[in-house]
Amino acid sequence: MPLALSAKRAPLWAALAATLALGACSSTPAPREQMAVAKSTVDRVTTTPDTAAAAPVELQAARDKLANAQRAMDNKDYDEARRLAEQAQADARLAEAKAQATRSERAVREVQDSVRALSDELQRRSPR
Amino acid sequence: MTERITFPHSRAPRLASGAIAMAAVLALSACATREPPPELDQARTMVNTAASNPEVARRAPLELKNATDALARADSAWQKDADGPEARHQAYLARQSAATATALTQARTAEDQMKDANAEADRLRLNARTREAEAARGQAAAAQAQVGSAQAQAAQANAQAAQANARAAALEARLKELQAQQTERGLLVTLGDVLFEFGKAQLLPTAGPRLDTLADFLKQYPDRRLLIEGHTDSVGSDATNLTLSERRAQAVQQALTMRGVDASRITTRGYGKSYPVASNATPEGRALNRRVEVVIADERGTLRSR
Repeated sequence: MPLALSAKRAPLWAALAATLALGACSSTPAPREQMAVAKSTVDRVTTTPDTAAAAPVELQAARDKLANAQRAMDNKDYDEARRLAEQAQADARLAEAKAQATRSERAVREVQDSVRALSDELQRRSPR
Repeated sequence: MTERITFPHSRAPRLASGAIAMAAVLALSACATREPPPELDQARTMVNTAASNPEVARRAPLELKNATDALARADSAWQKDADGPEARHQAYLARQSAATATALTQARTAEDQMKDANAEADRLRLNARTREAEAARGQAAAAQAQVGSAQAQAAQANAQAAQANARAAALEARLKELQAQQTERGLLVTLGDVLFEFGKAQLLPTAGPRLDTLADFLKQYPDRRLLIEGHTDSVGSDATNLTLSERRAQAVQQALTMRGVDASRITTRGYGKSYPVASNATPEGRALNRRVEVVIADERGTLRSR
């Protein structure tokens, strides 16, 4: 695209650029989808038992960021709202994964303990 | 959106292109000198650590891709606007996604181990049940063997009882063979003259079976005492007859002792011709009078001599 600037038409160009910039700014859409996803994830993770114990920091961060995202939405600061929503979502997912790891590792330890106990029991019962 | 703006021929374009070139140089120099924010470096380190772990790539591929995508967005955002918040934001997302991928990998590894452990537990439980069943079978077999041996013992006892009965019956039969007579003095068995050598105290071999039978019977009732009495006919002197009758009685005692009858149970007497059972006037009568009588005490121990 051949494009050149003209000193004579500079005011016009500036006006155009300003219009475009303003348009871009006001055209940032409200991050409704990100908000919805973050909210449902945070709600889900909050109601899962053990998460508060396994990942308290991440869970609290997710809740705080979701609240701040909502505040940014109310202020129509949509870029900030999107970032906060995405971070809340990422924090909640991390809390969920950590809780899942804690649960699974505890469960496997219990089963391994019972296997050991069973094995010992069998050993005792048959000393042949 | 395509835009075409045409300008009349003038010097303006040359000036403009000079300005653009300068701006580009400024921008490049800014790029070269600006260090990326520490958040971006940290995120890169974390994402690379997660990505280099084959377990994470295998078990949490989606989260890992989220992390690498966010890191790429962070890089490009930083290229566009080094000071803007988007680069740091995307770096944060990359870091959290990498941590999530790592945690999910831990969780899924543990879940696999859980499956293995459950399978092992099932195997052990099956093992235990099999062994219990085997032990129960063994116990049942042992119990059955005990029952079997008890039954065998009972059968043996029955057999012994039957044998004892049979023996008792046989003895009864043999007593009949001996022609034992129940008398008021006791059970009387008479050994006739034909069992002795003529005129002597010597027992003939033919007496053996009767003596065996008698000895068996006496051994069956070890508490019963017995009296052995010798008798003769009236032929010959009294002294000779007395002596002969005594010696014949003693010969019978000896024969019974040799067959295992306790000698202390036995009393012998010689009566000579004093107690005939028939007339001495005929040869048949005299033969009946030459005899040895064995008197066996009854259950109450009654035993009376003459």
